[in-house]
Amino acid sequence: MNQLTIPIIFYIFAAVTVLSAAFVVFSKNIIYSAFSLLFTFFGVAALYVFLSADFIAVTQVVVYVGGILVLLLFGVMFTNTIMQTELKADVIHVVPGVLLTLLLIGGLLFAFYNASAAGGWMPGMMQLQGSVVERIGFETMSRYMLPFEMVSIVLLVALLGAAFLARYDKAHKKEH
Amino acid sequence: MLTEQLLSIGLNHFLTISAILFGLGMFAVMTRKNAIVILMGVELILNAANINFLTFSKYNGGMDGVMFSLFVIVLAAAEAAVALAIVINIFKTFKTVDVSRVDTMKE
Amino acid sequence: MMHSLIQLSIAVLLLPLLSFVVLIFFNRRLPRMGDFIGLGLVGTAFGCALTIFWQVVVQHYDPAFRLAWDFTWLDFGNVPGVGPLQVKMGIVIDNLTAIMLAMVTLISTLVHLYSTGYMHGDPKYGRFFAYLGIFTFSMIGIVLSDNLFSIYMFWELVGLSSYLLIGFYFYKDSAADAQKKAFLTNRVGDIGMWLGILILYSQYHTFGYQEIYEHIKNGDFHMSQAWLTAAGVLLFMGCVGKSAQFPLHVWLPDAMEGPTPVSALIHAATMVAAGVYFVARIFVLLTPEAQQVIAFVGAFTAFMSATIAITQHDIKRVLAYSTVSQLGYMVLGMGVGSYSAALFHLLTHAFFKACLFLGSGAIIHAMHHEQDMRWMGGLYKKMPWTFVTFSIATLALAGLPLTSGFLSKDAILAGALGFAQVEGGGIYYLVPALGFAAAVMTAFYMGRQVWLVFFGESRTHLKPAEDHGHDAHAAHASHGHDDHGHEDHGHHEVHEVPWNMRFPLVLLATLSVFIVFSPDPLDGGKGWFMHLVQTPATVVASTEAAHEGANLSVPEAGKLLAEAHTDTQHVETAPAAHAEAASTEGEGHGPVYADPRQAEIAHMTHANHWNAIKLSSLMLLAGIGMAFIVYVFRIIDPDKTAQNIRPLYLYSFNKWYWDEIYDATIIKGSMLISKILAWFDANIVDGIVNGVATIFRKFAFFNGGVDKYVVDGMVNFTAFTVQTTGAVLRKIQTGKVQTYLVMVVVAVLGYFAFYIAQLIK
Repeated sequence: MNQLTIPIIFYIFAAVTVLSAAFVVFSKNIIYSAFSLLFTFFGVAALYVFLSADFIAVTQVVVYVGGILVLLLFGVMFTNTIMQTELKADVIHVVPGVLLTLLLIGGLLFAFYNASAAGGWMPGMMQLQGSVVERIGFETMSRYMLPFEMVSIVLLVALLGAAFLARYDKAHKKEH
Repeated sequence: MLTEQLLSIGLNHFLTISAILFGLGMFAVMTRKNAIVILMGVELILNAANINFLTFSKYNGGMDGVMFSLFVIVLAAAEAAVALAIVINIFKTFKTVDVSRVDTMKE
Repeated sequence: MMHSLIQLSIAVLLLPLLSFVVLIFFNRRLPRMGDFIGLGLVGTAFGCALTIFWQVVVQHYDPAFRLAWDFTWLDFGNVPGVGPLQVKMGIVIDNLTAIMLAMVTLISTLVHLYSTGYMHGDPKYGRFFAYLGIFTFSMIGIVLSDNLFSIYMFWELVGLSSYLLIGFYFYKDSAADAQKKAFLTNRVGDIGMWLGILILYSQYHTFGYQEIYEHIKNGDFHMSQAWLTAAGVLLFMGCVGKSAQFPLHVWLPDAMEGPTPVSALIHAATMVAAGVYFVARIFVLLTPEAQQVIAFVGAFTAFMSATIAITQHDIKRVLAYSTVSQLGYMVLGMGVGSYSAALFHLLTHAFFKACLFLGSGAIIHAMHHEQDMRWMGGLYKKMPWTFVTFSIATLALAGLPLTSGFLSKDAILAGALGFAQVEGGGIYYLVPALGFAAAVMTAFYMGRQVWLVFFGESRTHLKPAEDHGHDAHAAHASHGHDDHGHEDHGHHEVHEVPWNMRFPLVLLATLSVFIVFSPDPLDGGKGWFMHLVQTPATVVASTEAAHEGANLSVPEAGKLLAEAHTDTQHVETAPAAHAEAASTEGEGHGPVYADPRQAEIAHMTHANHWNAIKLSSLMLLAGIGMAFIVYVFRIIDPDKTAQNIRPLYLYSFNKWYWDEIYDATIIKGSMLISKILAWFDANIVDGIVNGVATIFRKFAFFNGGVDKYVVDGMVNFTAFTVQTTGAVLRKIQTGKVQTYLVMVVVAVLGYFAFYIAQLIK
């Protein structure tokens, strides 16, 4: 029973992820896309749990669902009137797009499967097991100290930059 | 044989999902005109990359992938903020978020 | 395997949640906006709760019945600096839980039924039932919790649902203000409660009640006794907020802005009683000092809100202050150690106060949203059902013998007298004195209310035409209840309410009669409730023991106490037999306590039983008599009296000016602090920044000169080069980002092709 349940749960989440991602991409309505993206993020978070990265899964939910998705929704609200037909997004070069996408997915899958079939990407002897929260803490404070600090500076700069870019420009307004 | 492969969740399952997500994200970025949907596509691509990081990290036993995925999430947050600010600025200037009509660079 | 009772209780917990989830998403798609789903699911939950009640209370009938089940919810492992951090969730079912479950689900079901009539035609009808569902869910969660952590979670959830329901008519400013006030006031109490939880957690690394009590009993508390008192008082702060005790009582009367069924369910019967229930759960760890604090807070609240209730005009506000006053009684009962009496009052009060609120809802409904008692009158002929049930509940609230209210109130007052005697009189007699004074006033204001509403001439026509500003309830009628609003706005036909609003009234009034709780109309102690819910033995040292143990270190004193308690354990092994023996003796029910103080209080409580009955009957007669003199015989004219004692009247009418006091001190104070900080920021911090900026500007001026001639020259040269190159390259630019991207992808695919070709080779 246990042998079956884990694959079934995995496939459910995989299906949720892929289908909602497809909906994000193919839906004509941006609002639907944004809400479908929510399911994609949750599905991906669930997959992270399968990869024994529970902390990352939680971070994914907090940052993506709590932050980025809300930002995206704000963007939608700012730039579209909800009831307007503008909300329907047009497409550009569909045919080359579809072709290139299929080629891209095909090429990636071919590469992955070929590599693992050739024995290049076999699972290692030591796999991550259980929770990695504690190890993340150690790594952050030892090996990844510098990247950690740099990321915080990047965040600060991005914050300032975003605020600067999006602020209400009085001088700009006067010219019009 | 096939059922056995389907039932034992391993490296390739996750890589397949990430490849599909990446393709979908790429498709959105290439074909959709609305800048916000393009941003959504970028988020899909980043998620696909993250799945790859974590998959290899898990099956290799190292912590590098986990750490990198954490940084990717942080940078994605920064990217989304800045990109949306830019989109809003574009909207203010051009009164549209259709990227195909924002082509002043041509001149 | 789980016990079937546990499974049933989980069903009771989850059914209302299901109702919430279904209704919040689909209420617009369902016929009748899905009210039958809410009613049906909560009714089913009530059925399950009744099964639990039957099995636990009727079949076992054992004071020591206890069934627990838990699982580990979160396991953080060994957290540095904190120690092992593990959060468990669990369910405990004992007699109190079973009774509370039945009570909560019963009243919730009745309120659902009542709301199908009262809220009929409201545009947000379906959402109202959804909110009732989430409230019921969280209240049941509080009742079932076996640890401080989960009770805190559900505590916040009831706070949220109360917030949503108070502000149900959020388009009214008064309702929106009331909901914010309720939420923020509760937050103050909850912070205290959380600090109390953390004090206990820091000692034992567990949230479970049972584990904590075991630890305290074993004397593991490594800090001084004062900390334990502090923990008790802080935990009690949660109760102060939720049960609207002084000084955080200000939110409850304002909460009457919510729909009346909500007032009945949440702000009278269940949620506000949760505070008392919580104190009951932590009762055993309260030190005598903490108990004294609780007793005084309760007594003062009971007295103060009774004085306010006398002068209010709004029918619901009178009931609201009476609720605060009765909650004060319960808290007082907890403080003086009459654990079971306080809980008994909680139960009886829930029934008769819900009946009163639903009755007032019926009146408001029939009067087309008139809430001011001055414009009512003469309704007893037009609404006979409401009149009879309302009167029974009123008598129960006033504490007339033969009603349930008498049994429980009397038990609390007896406990208060016993407490005062044990504590050595003096200032402690203030507690029973305030309690009895509140009893007089309760009888008086309820007599006033019944008289003003049901008797005399109808005074509808006396209402000033343009009185919209006065209580802001007139606006109420114009929203959502258009189907009741007849065309003529002058005189409305008052009619009895439909059956689905009448049935809950009748049932609740029936439950306010003494026979439901005790065969003896004068002694609640002979009833099943007092037998099943007995005051648990305290786990902390009483003052005397603490004084004796002052020379010893605390763990040693604890050990002494633990030895004392092993004795209790022996005594309590046969509690049923013991209780039987006690009742044949004719005095003293319940277990014998090892703790000398507790034993003495229990003894004095029984000794004072008849004193309390005599005194409270006297008070009741005084109160009702006064109401008769003033309102029926009109010997004293109420308006003239109010003029004569105008300062007192205004003091009461304006609710002791608590709102104004808080506004002047806390709110103004925080405004002042923020202004000071703003000034500091504007003058001092900015001054430093500006100074630095000036220095930099001077420096930049010199720098600019260098920049202009040397650097710009190089830059211009570079720009020239770039410009020339760009003129060539711009031909392949289309300006469309996505076209570039397509090119990029083509390039990437080219790389892929190369790689794959390598692989195949």
